[in-house]
Amino acid sequence: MKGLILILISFILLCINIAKAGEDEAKAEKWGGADAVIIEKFAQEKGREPRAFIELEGDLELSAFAFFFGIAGFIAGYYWRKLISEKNRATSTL
Amino acid sequence: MHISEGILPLSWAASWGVSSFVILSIALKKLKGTLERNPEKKAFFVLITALIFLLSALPIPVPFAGTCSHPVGVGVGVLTVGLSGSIVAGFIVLLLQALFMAHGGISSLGANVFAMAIVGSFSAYLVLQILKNTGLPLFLKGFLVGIVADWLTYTVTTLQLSLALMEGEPFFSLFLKILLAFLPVQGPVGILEGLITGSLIVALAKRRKDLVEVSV
Repeated sequence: MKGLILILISFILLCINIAKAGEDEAKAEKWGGADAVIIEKFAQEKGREPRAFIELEGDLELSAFAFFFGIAGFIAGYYWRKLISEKNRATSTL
Repeated sequence: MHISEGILPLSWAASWGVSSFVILSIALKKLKGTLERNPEKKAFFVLITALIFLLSALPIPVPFAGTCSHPVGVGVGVLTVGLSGSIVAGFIVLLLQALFMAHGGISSLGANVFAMAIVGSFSAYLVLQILKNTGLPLFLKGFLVGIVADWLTYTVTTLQLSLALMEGEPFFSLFLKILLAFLPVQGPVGILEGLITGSLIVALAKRRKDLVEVSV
């Protein structure tokens, strides 16, 4: 267990060093998603222009995320209650 | 790991698409059988699909990298709805994200499904099989399943990008370059995914041991 923790700490330190080495590059697109900052950057360097299947301009992307996250959150919460909380309560009262 | 529309050349997009389609059809057939035998698992499959959807589009800021990335969620899938359930759930999630959330693409759907739903799930399944009968605490089993699924998914995305974009550049050099770019971001996110997977599986096993795939 101690060994595993040591490996994890060494790995995190390694990540910090690598991140610092590439800091200038990352500054250009601060807090961008890895998909855009890494995948699309390499693709553009090789002359392949990424495009979205549907264009969500401005706050449309925020709307889509809020809408679908709301639905997924509702489904997850509803079934968690139905399958986990209620069943758990039913078996513990038996 | 969402590769957008237009990044992969048609030949690569088609190859990943066909490979994913074959494995997906087998997984779908197996899942259908499982759900027919255990109808209660249908609701559980919906719950896990919703959870994978949330996890795989949740941007998590990585402070020292200055970038955001997301977990993949298929580790939780394998631990709860099994290998075939996780593959099908991963496909549904990636399809919805491509169609409605401008995340990924339709031509690159096969590649994304192969990386996240198939290799992510297979690697998680393999780790689960290795750890299943060991005396490790359940949290640690979940942690390792989650971390391996996450890192392997991104390794395959790196492989897919390197194969598609290597024109005039040695494959290994490009592979290493992309992998090193992912490392500071996905390294910590993978560890976080391990923690999420471990915690979720412990929470589930405490309440419904019968729904969890791993022996407690």
